[in-house]
Amino acid sequence: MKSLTTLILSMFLCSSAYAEDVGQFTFLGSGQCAPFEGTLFDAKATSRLLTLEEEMILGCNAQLDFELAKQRTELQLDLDSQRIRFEADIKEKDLAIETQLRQISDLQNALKKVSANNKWLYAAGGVATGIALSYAAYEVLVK
Amino acid sequence: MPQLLLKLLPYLKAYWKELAIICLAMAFLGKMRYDHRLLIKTYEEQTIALQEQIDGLNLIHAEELRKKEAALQAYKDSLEELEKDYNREKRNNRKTIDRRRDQIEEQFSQNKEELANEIINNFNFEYVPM
Repeated sequence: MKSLTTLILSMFLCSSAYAEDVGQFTFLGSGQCAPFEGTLFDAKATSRLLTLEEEMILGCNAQLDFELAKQRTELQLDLDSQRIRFEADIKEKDLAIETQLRQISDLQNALKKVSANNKWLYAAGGVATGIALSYAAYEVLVK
Repeated sequence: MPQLLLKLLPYLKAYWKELAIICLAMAFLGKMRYDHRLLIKTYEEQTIALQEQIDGLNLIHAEELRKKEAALQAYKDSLEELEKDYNREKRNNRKTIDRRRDQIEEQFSQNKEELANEIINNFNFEYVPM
């Protein structure tokens, strides 16, 4: 059935093309040097008809292989891009963690220097300073 | 030295309160300045750390762009190669078909029986010899 369709299609294609290059055909009536009414194809047209299916299969396979390979390449590019982005994300994350750990360490060191754990000493110092300042103010302002 | 201390002693006794206030105030100010310096140092360290992070991010970004560019170039090369292969295959197919057609045309003039069989096999037509 497929071959028959191909044959019919190619008849129309052949009729509109240049006869010299692509083969010739004509219609024959009954008794017109032919046992029945039909279509006469020359050697070139016959060869075209007989190879049409093979030509289409080969063309289709080539096109299919090409499109599949192209799609595979596109997907590979997409995969590579995503892998590169992922690796960059990992590096950025590591860098951010490293920086933040360093910041935390710096802040902890600073905090240790600013306020040691002797808070009672600081409280006593503060109270003493307050008393001294109050007394000084009293001495200066009242006396 | 002890004589100097002996001379200063009455003075210290008379003004010990004022001197104590001055000492405390100086200690207070000193501590404040120390804390301030520490704060500035911490701020500078934070700034350096953040600047290093920014530099690192810029490097990562540049490397990412370079890798993406390389991947894109590889894709273009690959595509070009595929197109070449495709065109080569089309040319080979063309040659195959042309050879086949020549063979059929040869059969047409030299071996009609074989050609008839081929037509029967291809289209399942009935052959009616003249």
